[in-house]
Amino acid sequence: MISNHTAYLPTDKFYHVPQYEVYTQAKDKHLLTLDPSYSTYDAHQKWPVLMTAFTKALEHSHMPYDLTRQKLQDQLEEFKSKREDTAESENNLSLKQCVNYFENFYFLYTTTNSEYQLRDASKKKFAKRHSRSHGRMRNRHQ
Amino acid sequence: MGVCETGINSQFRAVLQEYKKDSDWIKNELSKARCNTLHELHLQYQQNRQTYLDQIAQFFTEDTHNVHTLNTLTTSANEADLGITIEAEISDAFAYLFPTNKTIAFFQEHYPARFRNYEKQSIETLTNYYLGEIASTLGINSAAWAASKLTIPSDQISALVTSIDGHFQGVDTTEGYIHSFGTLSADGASFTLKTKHDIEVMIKQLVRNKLVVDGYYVSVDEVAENPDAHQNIRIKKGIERDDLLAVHHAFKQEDLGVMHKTLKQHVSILTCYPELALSQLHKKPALISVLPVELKNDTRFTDVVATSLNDLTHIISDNFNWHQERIETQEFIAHVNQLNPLQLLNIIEQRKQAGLAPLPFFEYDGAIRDLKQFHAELNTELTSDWNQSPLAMRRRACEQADFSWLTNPQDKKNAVTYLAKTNTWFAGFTQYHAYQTSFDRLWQDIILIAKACFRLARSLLSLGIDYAAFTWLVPMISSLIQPIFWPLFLIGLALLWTGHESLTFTGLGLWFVAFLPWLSWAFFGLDLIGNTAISAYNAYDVVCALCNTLRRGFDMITATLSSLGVSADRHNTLENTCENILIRLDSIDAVSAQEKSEVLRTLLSRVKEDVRAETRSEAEAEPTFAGLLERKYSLFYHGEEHQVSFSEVSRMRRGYDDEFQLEETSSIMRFFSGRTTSEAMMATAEAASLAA
Repeated sequence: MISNHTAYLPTDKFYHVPQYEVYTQAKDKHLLTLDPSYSTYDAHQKWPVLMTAFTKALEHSHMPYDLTRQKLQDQLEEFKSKREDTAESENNLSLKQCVNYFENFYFLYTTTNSEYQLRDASKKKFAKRHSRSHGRMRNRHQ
Repeated sequence: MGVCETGINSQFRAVLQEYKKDSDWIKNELSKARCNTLHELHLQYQQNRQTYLDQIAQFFTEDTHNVHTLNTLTTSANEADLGITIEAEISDAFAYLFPTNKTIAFFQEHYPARFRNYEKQSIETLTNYYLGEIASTLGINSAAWAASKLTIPSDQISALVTSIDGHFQGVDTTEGYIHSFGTLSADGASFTLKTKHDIEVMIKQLVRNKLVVDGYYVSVDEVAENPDAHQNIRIKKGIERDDLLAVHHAFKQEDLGVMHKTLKQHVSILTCYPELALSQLHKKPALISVLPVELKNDTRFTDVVATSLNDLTHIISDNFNWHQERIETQEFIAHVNQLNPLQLLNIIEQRKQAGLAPLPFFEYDGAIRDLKQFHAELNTELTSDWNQSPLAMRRRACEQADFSWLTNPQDKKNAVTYLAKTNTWFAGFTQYHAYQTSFDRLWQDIILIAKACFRLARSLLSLGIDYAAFTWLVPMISSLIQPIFWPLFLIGLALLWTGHESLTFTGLGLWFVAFLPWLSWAFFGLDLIGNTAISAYNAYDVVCALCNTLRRGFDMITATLSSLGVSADRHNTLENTCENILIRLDSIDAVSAQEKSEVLRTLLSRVKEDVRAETRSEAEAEPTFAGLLERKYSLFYHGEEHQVSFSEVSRMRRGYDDEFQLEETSSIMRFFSGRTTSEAMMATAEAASLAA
């Protein structure tokens, strides 16, 4: 009930999933700064470009305390080979899907677009959260 | 497959959900709110996990289990079309190991309420988000802003305006919301922003409008007008859209009977959507009588209706200002029946607190107490119903009254009877009050005391004369001569006298102490405890009846004194007397009485006009109010012109059922005859009536 004087009903619009069109455009544009022909690469080609840039951009203070840049790089490399080893199926997270995730992470972490730029505090939280998620998962299930 | 794919996926997804942004801020915030709702649901599931966990689940760590149940919940949410964002969908390979049936059953059971809450909270959520936006746009400290007004340089105003326009595109902001946000300093250099709380109200309104403009909400009117264009509305589980619209259409009915019939068939819809009824009640308060009576036990509904009833009271009192300095008797009579007794009591209380002149009829406390008692009797004796409008109460009183008073007027003189046998509740109350203060009532009280004394005597006798003498009289006399007895007894009596509940108990306590030596003696004979208790109760009964009667007698004396007393408040005694005649006539249920009252009212208003005119012209102070009552005025009545005076008409006898005849008859009514019309009475009133 949003008003006492008129009865209103909620519509399906209350449950519309955001399409993120503008966001995706901004992200794709940002990724071209990595490599002008980035958009034409396949997942295997994208990965090293993306990961080099990502680990380079990650500030040391934003990393989990037990992680060095080298260790992170190794971890991500291992993560990649796990992805490549896993069979392509609807039950598994493919390399392509992971690339997509990391493209988002990289964009959110490095963008200077005022619309999407994270403040330093949330940047740190963000970085720790996602590096912990792939790190932790890797260790647990070995 | 050594890696938990679902786990990584859901972790990644959760991180992204928090930081990704859509260009439409509302979509963005609502999406976040939905994810939160799902997480709350998950938390609720975890808290009840013992209920839902299966044996198999114990093989897994808590974390693992949580990942998979969240995944199951997310999948279910998407099947229910609840708009949860999914980045990459990974089927849960472990799902078969988990009791997903239970998880899904849990989800089905709890999601409707959770997501209804999400809809309900949407305005709050978006308002809070936007308040945060304002703070970051202006670079102000949110906590400081919550505490007090803030001053910002005026060049930041444009940033604020841009932000409002950007966020509330499509909402009519032409009135310049910025002016209601704060004030510009005299030199135009700074802008004082109202506190967060003050602005919150305005933002809420903007958000509300924005949600309607953007089609998140659609009014039922619109849906009813064009049902095909609005297939996308979300209706609560178990309710048919057609039924909902049927209820909506029912309220548009002219025929209240048909309306009531339709509503009666769809009580559940009114329960789920009270706003359907409320929005109509705001437009037409009288519709409250049409609502099905089944709803009176539904607390959710009664709560909503109770608040709307308060609003209704507000609407009613809007027509007449109950809080003006002084309310004249005639005004009071004209408006009082729109209130119910409780509302009148509230107004009396409010006027008392505001230090306004007491209402007519309620100049002394006895009348107020009788009104309270009248209200309390109605409350306990009328069948309960949330419809407390005076008309509905009277209708119920008529249904309930057993009409024994028709044949046996001595019987059952309670509030319900008085309400049933009079036209308006206030007339009923005045008669009730008159009875309460009459000698009839006093006589009844005396009979009550006598009966109580008789019961006491009988119970004492049943104890046996010797025993009574031994256990009652001897110790009684011995305690009477103790010095401590009398102070305790008198203070106890004084406290009982007040009639105030807690004080009465204290008074009884003191008495208990006073009579303790005697009581302990009395209780010595254990086999007689029962009889002693009965005697003690009967004695208490006698005392209560005595106190009541004495207090009532005291009230009567005060009332009489205050009406006789020449106080400044009652400057126009004669005028009041005249008005009381009208009131008395109004309370009589007969055509002739109504007609007589009409004629007298016309004459009285003429008299008052003349008094006013002559006081103004300050001509010979010859015709006073009393004199003017004898002046003949020309008056059209039943198509004929008559020359009559007020006192003349008031003397005329009226038949009970016939029309009132404006003809001088020899038989003279008692009121203006003999002693009352004598020069003596006129003389006392004369001086005072000049002031009118």
